[in-house]
Amino acid sequence: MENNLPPRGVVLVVDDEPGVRALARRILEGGGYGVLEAGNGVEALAVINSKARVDFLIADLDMPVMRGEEMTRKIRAMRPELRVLYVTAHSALLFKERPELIEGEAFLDKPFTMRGLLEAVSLLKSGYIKEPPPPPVSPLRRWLKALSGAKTR
Amino acid sequence: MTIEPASVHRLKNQLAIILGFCELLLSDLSADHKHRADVLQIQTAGRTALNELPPLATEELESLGRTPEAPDGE
Repeated sequence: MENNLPPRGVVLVVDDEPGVRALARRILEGGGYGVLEAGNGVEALAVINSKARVDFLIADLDMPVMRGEEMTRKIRAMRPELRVLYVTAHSALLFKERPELIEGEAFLDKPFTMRGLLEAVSLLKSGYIKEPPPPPVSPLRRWLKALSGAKTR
Repeated sequence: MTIEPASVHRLKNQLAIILGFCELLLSDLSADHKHRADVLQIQTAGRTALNELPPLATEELESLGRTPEAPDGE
């Protein structure tokens, strides 16, 4: 069982639109994440209550049955360490309901790109985007920079 | 022609799905794949349609999700 754990964690994707969930699943699984799905806030709370492993929550804000903001408030009361990415087609609504995001929360505009979604989850996870670090400055470039600086003096 | 806020929301969601799967397909298709140009046409049309959607005012946004089956509050 342990060997089957996704390398980068498990994301619970909550969206009432099955196509959006399918899209997020394709992108996230391609990025090395495990994915669980819920179609509304009540289903999401059931997943959390089931004690299934969930490391990140991706929450649509504009959902029937239970609004995304209310859902995340209830989930974070149970799992305060859970990191939340709000995905919304209307970010103005998010900032009206939540003028300030707290630590461990971020938002992403819908439509999102593959890179945008993976970077947002990576940022939530580690505080930085998982990309190769910039190449170090080569001794030649350092020498040229010093040389050009010397000329301007 | 005006579009109901709920319709704008649903259209935006559907276009997000179309554009997202276009991007996934394009990432898999080689540069000379015979269907690449077709997918690019779909992507362009989707972006054009997205840009045609009107922005929603705050009060319109607040009405979203408040469907009859949606309880207000607890």
